Amino acid sequence: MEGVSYQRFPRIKIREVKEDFMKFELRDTDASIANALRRIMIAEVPTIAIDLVEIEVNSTVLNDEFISHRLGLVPLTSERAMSMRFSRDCDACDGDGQCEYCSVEFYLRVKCLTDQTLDVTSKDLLSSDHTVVPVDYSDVSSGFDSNSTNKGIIIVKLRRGQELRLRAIARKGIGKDHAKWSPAATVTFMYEPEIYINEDMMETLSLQEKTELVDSSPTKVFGIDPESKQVIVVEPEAYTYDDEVLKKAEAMGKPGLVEIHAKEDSFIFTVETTGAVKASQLVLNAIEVLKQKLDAVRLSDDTVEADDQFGELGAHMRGG
Amino acid sequence: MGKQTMGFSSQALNCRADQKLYHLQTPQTPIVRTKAYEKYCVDDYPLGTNAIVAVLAYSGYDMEDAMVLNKSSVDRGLCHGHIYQTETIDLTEQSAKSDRAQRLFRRSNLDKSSHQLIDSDGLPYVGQRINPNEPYCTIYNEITSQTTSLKLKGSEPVVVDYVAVDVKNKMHLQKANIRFRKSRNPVIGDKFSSRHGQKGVCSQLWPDIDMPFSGVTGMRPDLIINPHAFPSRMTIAMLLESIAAKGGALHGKFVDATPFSNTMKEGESESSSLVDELGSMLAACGFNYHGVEVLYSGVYGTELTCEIFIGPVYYQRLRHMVSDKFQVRSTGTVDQVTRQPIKGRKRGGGVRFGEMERDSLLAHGAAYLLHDRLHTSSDHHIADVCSECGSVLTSSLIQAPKQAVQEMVGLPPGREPKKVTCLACRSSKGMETVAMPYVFKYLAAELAAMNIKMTLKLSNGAGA
Repeated sequence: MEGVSYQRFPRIKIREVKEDFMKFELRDTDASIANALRRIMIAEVPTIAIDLVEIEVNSTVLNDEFISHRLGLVPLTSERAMSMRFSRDCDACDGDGQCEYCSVEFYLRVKCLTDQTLDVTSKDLLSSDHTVVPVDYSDVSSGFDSNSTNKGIIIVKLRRGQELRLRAIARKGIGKDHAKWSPAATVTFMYEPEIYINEDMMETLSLQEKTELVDSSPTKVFGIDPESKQVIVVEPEAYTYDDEVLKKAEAMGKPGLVEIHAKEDSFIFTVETTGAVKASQLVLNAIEVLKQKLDAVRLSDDTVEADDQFGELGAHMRGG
Repeated sequence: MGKQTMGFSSQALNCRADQKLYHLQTPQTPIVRTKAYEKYCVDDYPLGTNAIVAVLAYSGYDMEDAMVLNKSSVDRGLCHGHIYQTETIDLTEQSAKSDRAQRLFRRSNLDKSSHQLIDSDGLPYVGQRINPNEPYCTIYNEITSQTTSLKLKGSEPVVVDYVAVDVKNKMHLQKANIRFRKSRNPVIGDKFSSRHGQKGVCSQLWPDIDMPFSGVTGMRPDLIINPHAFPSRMTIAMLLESIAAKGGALHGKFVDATPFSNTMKEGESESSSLVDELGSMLAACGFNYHGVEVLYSGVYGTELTCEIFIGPVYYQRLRHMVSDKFQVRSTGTVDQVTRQPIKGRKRGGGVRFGEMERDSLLAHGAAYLLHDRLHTSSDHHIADVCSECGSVLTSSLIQAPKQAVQEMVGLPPGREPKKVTCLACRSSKGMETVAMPYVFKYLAAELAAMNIKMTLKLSNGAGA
């Protein structure tokens, strides 16, 4: 087996990029890499989130813990997070996590003076650093109705005389520690399906049977060509591996009418972010984190322990 | 519903002074509900969360009615809750009982250590965190001019939520209600239940990334339960709820589940059943008719071999929580009479190793373990027994005359053998030491008290 290289050169093809959404293809690699990327995007790409709240005055209807928890979950713009320090490794502040290198300070001072209910929102959080602010969803022309005055994420509602005054410290962290640091709303991938229709067998079906077959799939994978009346694949990626069509074909007494395989080496990723980082940046950061993790393994490559630990694989790991 | 659940039991929480009140932080309204639910406005007092429940055996931590919670869901506030406890302090009651001394809430000026926790009026600051055994209130006795402080019991820190004072007595403040708040977020060992009596205990907070996920939507379940929970209990309604709620969620509407009523629209064919209606709701949105989905292993990224039944189910948090129930002990206080460990969770007692447990060890032949549990770790005692008269009760210690010489020289006192004597035989000739449970000695004493003499026959070695 010496000299055999398993090295592959994965490729990424981007299909769609929006501020907080991205769809891309990952080819020439296997499920382990694809899943590693997914897991890192969810749990290990660092972001900034509020971690410590000092409440000065709270006469609102919600208790201190509740408000702190809500504040923690507010996504903050975290482009800086990759270069920031974890406050536990910060030398400048001896780990108390209050220095400019590892933390960002926020203030919130709201008091309701009118009879109208006052909404305290993420817009009321005043940041000490203009690069780290609560994510602004107003300009994202997504499903939300953007014409209504978008005021940010609501934290608590105040009635006359109620007041909320606090100081909050935001720190860098990863989603593994707490979900508030996860930059990903959803990251998922699917195997690219390969759909093969047995045309000869399909000829033996009547038009009605063909329609039944097409309709058996809950998602619109197949269609009927309006001219040639043949069953065609409309949207292979709509297939959810539910085997409904295969079951239908079998029920019709025609097993092998349609064959569907999952390509073992290509994946279609869908990434949605919370807005803390851009979707495209999230993918890049995830790859960066993955590289760092691999470097950590490689660091120990020439030590004796590594050889002991990996046995025959030690040489392999050194080869890259 | 209601009794055991941790719900949203009151709209006027800030004005209440219940002894103990369980409160769910972020409740939701169920997607699947009955007509009665709306009629009685249960929405004003919700008591659960629509959790995405996957039914599969994953990780093995969902065996035997255990369930795996998604850690990220819990981080985001799933089933977070609080316990509100009110402590009522009535000084008139205390004064009337004993010395008729006037008592007042007042902070001691001498003891500065409590000033951080207690305000000048002797009552705690609102919003202050108090740890166990820290004072939360100080009372001044005018006659003895002493201040006593009430210390927090229990083993968890609390936050002072509210302090209410009774001002009926115009002269002095005599009565105060102090409401404490403990946050109770889900931990391993907490109990949850669906509305179908499918109760289970959280056995693990599993990381989000290790949870199975759907390739299409990217959804990860909030909660995993074991499929074995269904066959013997036949809670079909839970499966129906899952499908119905999934359909309802997809269509953005509530689903009516009133029993004994035809949910079908009038004039539909008789063959169409509830299942057909629910199934087609899913199929219309491109989901599987039966509510199953293809999931991928979160650990490996490979497709799971089966399609998994997954959908939202209204889950309730029950008020049985480990932090109120756990009982552990290594060494600790023992009973004065028997010298055995005391019982009771509050007092730091042990868990009883009873007859049935004893039988079990006997059946296993685990003699050494049995000896350890019932003797060494319990009331092991070395008793002095007189072999002449066979009594355990008559031994008495002879005070050895103090050797002043040794003390003066500063030598370490040599360990002299204990000198014991039998008071009945008036000699220390036949004194022997025997290891026995201390209760045995107590038994002998009790028997002696009713004129029954118990004698031991001592012999050396087995069968000798």
